[in-house]
Amino acid sequence: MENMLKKSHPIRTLAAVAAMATLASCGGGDSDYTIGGTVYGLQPNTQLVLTTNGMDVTVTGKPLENGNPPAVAYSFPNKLGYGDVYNVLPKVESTAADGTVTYQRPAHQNCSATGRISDTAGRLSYINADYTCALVTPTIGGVVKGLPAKASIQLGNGADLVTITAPDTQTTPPADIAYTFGLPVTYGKTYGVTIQTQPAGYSCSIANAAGQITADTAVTNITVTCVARPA
Amino acid sequence: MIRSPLRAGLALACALSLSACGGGDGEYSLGGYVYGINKGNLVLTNGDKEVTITRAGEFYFPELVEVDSNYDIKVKSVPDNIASPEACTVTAGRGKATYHINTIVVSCTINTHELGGTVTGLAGANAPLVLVNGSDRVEVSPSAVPQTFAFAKVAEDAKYGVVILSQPSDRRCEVTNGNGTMAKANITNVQVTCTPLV
Repeated sequence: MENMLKKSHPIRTLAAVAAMATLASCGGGDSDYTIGGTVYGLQPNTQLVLTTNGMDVTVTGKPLENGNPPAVAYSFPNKLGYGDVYNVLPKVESTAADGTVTYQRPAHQNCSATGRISDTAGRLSYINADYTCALVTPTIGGVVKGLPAKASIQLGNGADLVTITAPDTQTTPPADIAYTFGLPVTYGKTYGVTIQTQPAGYSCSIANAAGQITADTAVTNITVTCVARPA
Repeated sequence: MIRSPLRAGLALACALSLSACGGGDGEYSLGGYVYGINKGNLVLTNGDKEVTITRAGEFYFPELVEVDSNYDIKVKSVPDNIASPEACTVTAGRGKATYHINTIVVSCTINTHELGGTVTGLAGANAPLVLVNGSDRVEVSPSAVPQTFAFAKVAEDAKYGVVILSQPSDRRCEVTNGNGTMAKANITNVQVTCTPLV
């Protein structure tokens, strides 16, 4: 941060010199630029903490409008001077030993920059350091047990389908086959898995077929167990 | 490049027949994007020219159109899971071909039908029955009259699967006719049968 501020000084000096040379007012001088923007998609009562130039601002989601979170405008408390570098990032939660930074995020959401979050103050007439947040969308899946060689089963979650086919050679008893649905499920939404097509000669049943996404991690416990139908 | 022999052939045919050949020996491609179909055939026309489309995405008429010719895109026929040509709207469908055209947008709406059924044996239970079809969730109260449920409509040809998310602790409920493919009519025969636990 120190470096960034120092780096900007030559530019500011030039600006000041230019101002004096023209004997004209340069429009407010050193601290004229408000850093701010809009956060889209932020869920009600959840918070995104943004930082730049040693400042923090906490952006809080507003009540839903027509079922959607409204855009929330924010700005940092202190203005920046012409040429100051800003870089609006979520507040750092932790930094791993290898330097990987983990940022704070609002509950059950991921946010990404959708505006120009980094620039020098005064270069653009408007500073829109925008972020867009969205609820997490974990995948759902599990394993199919007892599926014999070459056999296929089709599972559905609503209209989303996944077909699992056992390899040409299977061990005895058959090895478990992991599967994941193509469409993830948004946080808070439900899922319900049914068997759309049973494998020939086999009858399968599902454990943990229905649920609701209440965590940020993938659902992997939808277990399908197939047994040979009596001849 | 591939078109060149065809175009040459077409030009020759035109010359021989001494008749106008529409846009066949033109310069510019004519097309755009189709949304909202999942099978064929969607047939679009530009005057007496046709293009047959079998999937959503980018499309072009097989023949090029002449420089500065007018085009006017109409929907001639639609896949059988779309009600009528009126269920497809054409945007930027009319204009003059002053260059290659890829701005025509055709948006279709696939038919949807109701998905629902009835519950028996739930009356007097200690909690609601919660059913899901994927991310669509409905609740049936033990005191509801009648004991029926309806999910959001499902697109024709799409699969559905009704599963119990939660049930009263004093009942054991089972779904029959819970999954299948949405046909051309409402599905009303999903049956949930609850029996008391003692």
